[in-house]
Amino acid sequence: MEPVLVEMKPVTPDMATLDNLRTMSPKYDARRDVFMLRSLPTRPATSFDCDGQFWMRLDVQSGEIVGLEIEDFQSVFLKQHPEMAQAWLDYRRRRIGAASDRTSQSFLVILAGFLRSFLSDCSEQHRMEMLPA
Amino acid sequence: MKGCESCVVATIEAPYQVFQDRAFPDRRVVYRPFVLPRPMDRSYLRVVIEYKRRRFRKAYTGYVMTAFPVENKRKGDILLWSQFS
Repeated sequence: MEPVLVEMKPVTPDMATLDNLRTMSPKYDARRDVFMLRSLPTRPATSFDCDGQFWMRLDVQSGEIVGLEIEDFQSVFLKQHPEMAQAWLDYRRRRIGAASDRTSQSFLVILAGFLRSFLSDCSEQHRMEMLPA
Repeated sequence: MKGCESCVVATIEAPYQVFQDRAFPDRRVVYRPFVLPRPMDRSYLRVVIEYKRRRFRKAYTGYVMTAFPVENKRKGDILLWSQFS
């Protein structure tokens, strides 16, 4: 039986799908200090580090952006990005009120804008070298 | 990661690289490729372990904080050990 060679192609983010983030629902896990955006229904995804700031969740096959995960959100990320800290504070305060959906939508618009400008500035990161299969 | 507990154990027991978390001294990050089932079989598994000192045990105990498949390592973490160095 002849060995089958499989080409190792890294999954890279499809930036055309960045606006997908606007339709996702934000969730903050206070115990783990992790901010998440997830699309429903969930599907197999892998994570891509963006300049050490956050993880972008990508569809394993297509590279479509299906979510976002920010570790150490309040302890590190918001301190590094005070412009997002203000938006987050407003979001947390107003979310308690009646217009929570609208507030959530506005927060996601701000977040998507921040990510777009951040990613355009951010240099492309080298993929971790792969071991032979 | 439900159902992939054995992959997490395999990664901790035989990691490819071990990193020190860039912000928290009591956290270690370990990576290992090709341990996950399809369709994530070409990704690395990243496991974050937090060590806590228990008062009566006189030793550190590690707790898995999170584990998920990744395409690249997180920038800023400090490499402590590599399988091939």
